[in-house]
Amino acid sequence: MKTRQELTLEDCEQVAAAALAEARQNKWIVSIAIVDDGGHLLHFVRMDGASPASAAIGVEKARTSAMTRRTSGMWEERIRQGRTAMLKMPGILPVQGGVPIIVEGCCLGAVGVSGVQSHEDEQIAQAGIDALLKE
Amino acid sequence: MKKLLQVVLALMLAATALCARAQSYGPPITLEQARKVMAAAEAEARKSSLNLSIAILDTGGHMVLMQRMDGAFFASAQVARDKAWSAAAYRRPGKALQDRLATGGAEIRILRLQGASPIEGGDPLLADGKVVGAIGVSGGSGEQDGVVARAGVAALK
Repeated sequence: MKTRQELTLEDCEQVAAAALAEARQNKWIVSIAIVDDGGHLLHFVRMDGASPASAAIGVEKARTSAMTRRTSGMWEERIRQGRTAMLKMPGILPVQGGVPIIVEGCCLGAVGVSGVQSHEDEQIAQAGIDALLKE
Repeated sequence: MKKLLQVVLALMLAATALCARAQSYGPPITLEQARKVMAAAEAEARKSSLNLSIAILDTGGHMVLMQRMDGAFFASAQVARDKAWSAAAYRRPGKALQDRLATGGAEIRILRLQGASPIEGGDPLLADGKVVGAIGVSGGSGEQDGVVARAGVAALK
């Protein structure tokens, strides 16, 4: 029988705290969303001053990442390379800033960040995940 | 009799106006305020050993803080947001809509209100008498969700 790992609220709080620290250190103002492996919201935080749009975009990046088990930036890159058909993929926001949480080859969920430049969003998401996985 | 009716009507209108003033939107909730609300709501949930989703939205109905406790069913994540959105948009608790709906008759029109969630567990968040956002709770019974949401509301007062 296969066992299944899940992100706990404590895990999410750890990811969010590390991501927030990364953002604050760079004086970036963002929204940070964490979803489970089904793309459903587990945890969300929007820093004071982050736009309302960043709230929705952060969640969509996380959902994209969790459901495809890839970074949302990978989709952006593929489209940039000419695979424009990927724009019609269901439920995909092909913008960098969503990173899956992979543990022992399984995707447990994803982190999506929005608010600054896309590569900076991804840096924040990755910092959050690194804090969780480096234990 | 007619005079009396007029007086009653005038009083009702005045009361409505008063309510509307008391419930106008203020500045959107800060993250610090939201964290205070979340901590109080979560503590209330843990007291009753409930696994819930709790969402806090700003005055525009956009998410500020959200968390799903271990073991909460995944639909609760969306339902909590829906309840909070309804409370922010209509500036009244889901329970108020629920009670009106329960009277039946013409009040079943509430089911057609855009984005309304006529279920206990969503409440406007007030600071200095103004609506600064809303809290939505889902995962327990309506009554349990309501108790947790109101614990969150009380944290700002």
